[in-house]
Amino acid sequence: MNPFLRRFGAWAFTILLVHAVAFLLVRGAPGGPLDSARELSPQVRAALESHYHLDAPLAEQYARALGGLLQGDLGPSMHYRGTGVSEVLAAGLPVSLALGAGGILVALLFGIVAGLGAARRPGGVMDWAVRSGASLVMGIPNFILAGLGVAFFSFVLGWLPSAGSGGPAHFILPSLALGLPFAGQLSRLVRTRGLEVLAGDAVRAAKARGLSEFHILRFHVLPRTLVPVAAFLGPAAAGMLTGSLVVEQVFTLPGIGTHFVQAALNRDYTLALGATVLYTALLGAATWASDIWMARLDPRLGSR
Amino acid sequence: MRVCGRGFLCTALFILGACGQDSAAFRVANGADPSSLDPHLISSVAEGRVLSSLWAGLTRSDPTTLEVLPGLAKSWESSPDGTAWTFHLRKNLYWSDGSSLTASDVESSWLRLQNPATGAPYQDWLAGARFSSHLDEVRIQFPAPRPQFPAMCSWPALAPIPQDLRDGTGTPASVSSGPYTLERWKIRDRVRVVRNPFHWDSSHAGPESIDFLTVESAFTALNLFLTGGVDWTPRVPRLAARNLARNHHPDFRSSPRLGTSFLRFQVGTPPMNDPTVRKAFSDSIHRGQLAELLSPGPVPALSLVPPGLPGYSPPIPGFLLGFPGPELEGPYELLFPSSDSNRLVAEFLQDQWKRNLGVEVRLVNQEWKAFLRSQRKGDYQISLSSWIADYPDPVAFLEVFRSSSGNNRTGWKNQEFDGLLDRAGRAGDPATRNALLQKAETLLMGNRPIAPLLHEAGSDLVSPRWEGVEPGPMGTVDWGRVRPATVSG
Repeated sequence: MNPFLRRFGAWAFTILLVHAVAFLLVRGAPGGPLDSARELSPQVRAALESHYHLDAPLAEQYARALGGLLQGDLGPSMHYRGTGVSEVLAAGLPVSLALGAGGILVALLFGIVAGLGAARRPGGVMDWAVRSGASLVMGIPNFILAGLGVAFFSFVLGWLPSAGSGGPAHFILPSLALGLPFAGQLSRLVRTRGLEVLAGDAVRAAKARGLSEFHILRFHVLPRTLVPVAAFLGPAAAGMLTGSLVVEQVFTLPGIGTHFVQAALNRDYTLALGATVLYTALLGAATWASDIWMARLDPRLGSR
Repeated sequence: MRVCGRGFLCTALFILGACGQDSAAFRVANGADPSSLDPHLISSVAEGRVLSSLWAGLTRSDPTTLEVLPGLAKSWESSPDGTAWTFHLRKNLYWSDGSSLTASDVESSWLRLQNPATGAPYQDWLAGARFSSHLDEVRIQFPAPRPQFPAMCSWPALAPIPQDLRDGTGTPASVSSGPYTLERWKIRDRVRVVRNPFHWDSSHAGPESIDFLTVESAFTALNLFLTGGVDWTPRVPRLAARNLARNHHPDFRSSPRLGTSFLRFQVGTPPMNDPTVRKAFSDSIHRGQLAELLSPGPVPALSLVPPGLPGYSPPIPGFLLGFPGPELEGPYELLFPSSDSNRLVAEFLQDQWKRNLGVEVRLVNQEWKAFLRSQRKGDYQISLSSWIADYPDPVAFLEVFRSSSGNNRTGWKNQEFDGLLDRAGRAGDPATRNALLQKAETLLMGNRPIAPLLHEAGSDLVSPRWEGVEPGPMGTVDWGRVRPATVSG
C-alpha cells in the first residue's frame, strides 16, 4: 500500500475515534448547555433543545455530528449563540498557530545555540551553564515560568505586556514560557549529537584544512545534528499544543486552547467536539511534518 | 541549513503578522466573553456591561441612586389597574446607521423576545403580554399588574433591536442604538465600541472608544491594571483587594452591589422539611465573622433584598443565636460550586455548625454546570447560592421564590407569599406596595427556605487618568460621566 495513503488512513481513523470518544465524554458530564443560574422558561428550553437536537436520541445526535464532520460542518456553537463552531475556531487558529510557531522558534533558537555552545568545550563553564539552565527550565512548569516572566519583564523592567493580545510584543512572553522547556530538552539532544560529530573524521579534516571554529560549527556540525532535532520536533509540537492550553489561559491569548477548556466547562458540546477534532488533526499533521523533514534530511528513513 | 534559516525567518514574520492591533481610548478588563451581542440573548453581568453600551433601553437606571430615568422613552404611564403600560418615545430617534427608530421597532422587538424560538433567557418577562404601537407610543398589556416594568426596561434584554436582526439577516450590533456602536468583536479577545453619533444623548458622551477585554482571571486583570494594560478592572482578587483597602490605595474602590449570597435548603425532603431545623442552621452562623473573612466589601445579610433600593427597607427578622433548637442528627451535606472563595465560605459554615450546633456537615463541591443541574433537580440538602438583581426593584429578588418560579429550586411553595406578591402588584401606591413586599419578605425569612449570608460588594480598580468611573449597585457606570482626569497643580 502507498505509504502516503496508509498514513492518511491512520490519521483519519484517529480523528474519527477521538471524535466518537469525545462525543460520549462531553455528553456524559453532568449538567448541560442549557443549565444556567437563571432558569429558562419551559417553552424556551424546549425550543432550544429542539434547535440543537438535544431532544433527539443519543445515537441520532451522534449520527448528525458525524455527518456534519464528514461534510466539514461542525454545527452551531451552543454558547456563542448564532455563531458557527468553524467560525469560532477559525478566529482562534491564527493566534494558536502564531503562539506554537513562537514556541518552536524559541525551542530551536535557544536549544540549538545552547547545545552547540555546550558541545564546543565539554566540561567547560558554558557546558555547565547550559546543562544547569536546561534542567531548570525543564523542571519548572510553564505556568510558573510564565509568572516569573511576567514578574520580571512586565513588573520589574516594564518592557513587555503582562497579558492580552494586541501586537507582536504580546507573543514574546507566551512564546518563551511555551518554548523554553523544549529548548532545554533540545539543547541536551544537540549537545550529545554535537559531541559525536565533533569527535568525528569530518571535523578533524576540517580543522586540518585550517577552517575557523564558527565555520566548522555552522557548516559541518550543525547540519549533522538536525536529524535528532527533526525527530524531536514532532513530539515537541504535540507537547506545545497541549502546553498552549495553559499558556493561552495565563496570558489570555484568544487562541483555540482556551476554547478547548472553556467549551467543556460551558457544556458547549459542538465547540468542545470541534476543538478536540481540530487538536487531533493538528497533532497528526505536526508528527507527519516532522517525519517528512526527517526523511529529507536522512533519505534512508523515507521508505519507512 | 538554508531551509532551516528560511524556516526561522518565515516563523518570525508569521508571528509579527498575527493579531497586530491598536488600543481603544478606554480599556476594561471585563471578565468572561459575551456569548452574543444580541441583547435578547443576554444572561450575565459581564455581558450587561458590554450590551448596555451598545443598546439603549426605553428607560435607564441612575447608576448611583438606582432611580428609573427616561431613556428612548421620554415618559410613561400605567393603566389604572396597573396591567398596561404606555411609553412615549422621544422625537427623532435613530439607529446607529442613521435610519429612524420607531415605536413599531419596539413592538416588533418585544414580539421577537416573546417568541420561544428566539431562545431568549428573559422570554418569561413578556409571557402572556400583548403589544401595540401608534406613532410615538408603544403599549404593552400584561395579564396581571407589573408595576416594576419601567425598571425592567433599563436592562438590555428589553432593548429594541433593528429590523435585520429581527429577521435574522443581520449580525448582532452591526447596527445599534446605545451611546456606542460596534467596531469589532473578536471572540475571546475584545469587543471594541466607538461613540454613536446618532444616540439620542450623544452630546453627553464618554470616551471616544472602549475596549471590553475578555479577561477571565481576576489575577490577570490585576496584572493588566498594574502594568497599565487596562483602565478599569471590575474584579480584584480578594487578598489583593484587602491589601489595597488597608493601604487606602487611591485607585481602589469597593461599593455595595444589588446582590445577596445565601443558602438554599431543600425543603421537599427530610431533614430540611422541618422549619426548626432550617432555622437552627440559618441562625447559628456568625455573619459578621464571615463578612470579615471576605472583606473588604460584603456586609452581613439578614434579608434577601439588599438595602439601598429606593423606598424599600428590608425587614429585620429575629435571629436568635443559641436558641433551644431541635435535636439534630447528621450527617448533613452542603453543596457548593467549585472555587477557592466558595470553599472558604463552605469551610467557615462547616466550622460554625460544628461549633454552634455540634453537627457534622460534609462539604460537597461540584463544577459549575454539574452544580446547577443538582440544584435544579433538588438533589442537595443545603446549597450555597447567590442572586444578582437585573433591575432595581425588590421584586427582582422576591419573585425568585414564587411557587411557580423555575429559579426557586428549594421546593418551597407558599400561597400566602405568592398572594402577597400579587397584591403588591395590584397596589397602586408605592408605599402600600413596599409594605406588602416587606410583609412577603418577612414571611419568606420566617419560613427560612433560604438563609441569607452576605450582601455583595464590588471591588474595582480605576486608573487615575480617568474620572467619573463610579460603578453603582448594578455594577454599571454612566459612560457619559467618564472623561480624562483634569490635571491639577
